[in-house]
Parts: sequence; C-alpha cells; structure tokens
Amino acid sequence: MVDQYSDEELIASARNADMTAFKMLVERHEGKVAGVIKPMLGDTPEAIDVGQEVFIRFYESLEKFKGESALGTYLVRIAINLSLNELKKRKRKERVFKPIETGENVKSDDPENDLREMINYEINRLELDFRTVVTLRMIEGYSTEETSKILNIPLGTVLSRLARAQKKLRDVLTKQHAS
Amino acid sequence: MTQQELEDLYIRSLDAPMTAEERKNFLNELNRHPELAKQLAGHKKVRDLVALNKSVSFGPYFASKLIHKIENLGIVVDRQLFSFFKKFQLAALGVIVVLIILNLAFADQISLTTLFSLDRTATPAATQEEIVSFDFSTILNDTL
Repeated sequence: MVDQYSDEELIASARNADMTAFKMLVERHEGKVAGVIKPMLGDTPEAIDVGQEVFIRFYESLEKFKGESALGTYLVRIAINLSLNELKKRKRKERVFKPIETGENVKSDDPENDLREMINYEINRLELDFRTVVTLRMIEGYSTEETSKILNIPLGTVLSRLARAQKKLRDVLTKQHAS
Repeated sequence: MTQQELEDLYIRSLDAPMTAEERKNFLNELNRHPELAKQLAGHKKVRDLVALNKSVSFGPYFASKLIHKIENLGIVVDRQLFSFFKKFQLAALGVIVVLIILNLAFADQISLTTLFSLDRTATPAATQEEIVSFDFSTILNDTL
C-alpha cells in the first residue's frame, strides 16, 4: 500500500495535513535515515530522538521542500547534520561514547558474524569525518559523487577518507584471519 | 607505473569509475602483484560485510510514535488552519473581485457614501444663509 503512491503525491497530501500520507513517507524512508544515524550515534535512545527530529523538521518545512533533490537524499542530509550536532553535544558534555558492540570480546559459533561485529566496532571507533563517509558510501551505498555532494566536501577528500577508513577496517580483517 | 599512480588507481577501482584503459592497466598490475590482488579482495570483503548492516530501523512503531509526537506538538493544527485558509483563498479573492466589478458597474447608483450610509451620518452641509461671504476688496473700497 505504501508503494502505491509516489513521494510527490504523499508530500502533496501531507501539506494538507494528511497524517496518513506523512506516516507512509516516514515508513518509506525510516530505514535510510536509521542507516545513517545508527552507525554514527550507535543504538542509543538519542539515535531515536534524532531520527524523530529529522522527520519533525521535514514536516515543519514541507512547504519549503521543492523536490530539487530526492526526498531520501534530503532526509539523509538533515540526518547527518543532526547526528553531527548530537556528537558535538556529547563531546561538549565530555561523555565517553561507548560503541554498541564491544568487538574485543565477540565470540560466537558464526565466525562471519563475529567479523561483522568487529567491523561494526571499528566503524564506531573511526574519527567522525571518516565514519560519516563510510556510512554514506559503504553502508548506504551512495556513490562517491553523491557522498561528496551530501557532505559538501571535494570528491578527492571523500576518496582519501574512504581509503584510510577502509585500510583500517581491512587491518581488522587481516588480524582476524591471522588469529 | 609509479607506486603513487598504482595507489590512486587502487582507490579509484573501489570508489570511482575507471576508463576501459585504466581498468586494463589495473588488471595487469594485479596480475603482476598477487599481494595487491589479495589486498583488494580483503577490501571487497569488508565492503560486503559492512553492506550487510544496511537493514536497520528505529524499532517497532517508530512512525506511529512520531505521528503522535507531531500531533502533540500542535504543528498539525497549524498546518490544518493553513491548509483551510489556503483552500478558500481563491474563493475569497473571487468574491473581492466580483464586489469591485459590481461597485464599478453601479458606480452611478452606488457609491462608497451610499454603500456605507455615510450620507446619513455625515454632518449636514451648511445652508446658503449660513455662508458668510467675505470680499476683501469691497471692504477695502468702503473703508477708503
């Protein structure tokens, strides 16, 4: 039922205070927004708050949304900005960010799963700039050009950050294979 | 090919489009350097593993909770009011235009004064008797 209408049609209805249409938009794009916020903030209550804030801001600015970029990209941009704000807030409060997975002690019967959890752990330990690029390019699957546009940084910067982040993640893989 | 050129090509093979010639050169280099090919395979594996994390959500009932929150914030009421007035703004504009046209069409019979009954409420005009004329030249001649 959600796929029955295009984003544009649902936005037009939501502008006329149709909450069912807006709910459909939320359900359609929740995964994309969560896919950006969760790797950056972890599986925390703040991540859900930021997720809600993304859609509330979108609802408030429905009139301003002219559809120049795809709705998904528009929401991802808001999600990135709000996640960065949240991380700065955390830093200010000098709270120590604990990643969801504590990769060190991961051990199960599924070595593939262990490896994935270790990589998650390493992603959470990456510096913010690198983590953002990895999230967009590697997890969300945006192209390098799209990532550069979303983050408003040069293409070369995206490539170099990706290369460094990937090297770090590959080292984890090598270490895991060695053990 | 220099080491730097090879590294650039390596990074681009993962993240940016390559020309057919660049791809051919890169494949040649991979054949010459098996350790590089192994490294590339490692990178691709990391990529596949990371991509498996893609199916995430904010948990059950996220959308319902969000809608409830928006409704409680009162933004919906604002939007409802806005869209209500937006719906009728064209009709209101039409009525105004019709009134102006009617006013112009019956300009002889209807004027602003009669329309708002200003003729009844206004102070009656001064009568001819009450008007005191003052001719300065006559007074000056009489005096002289």
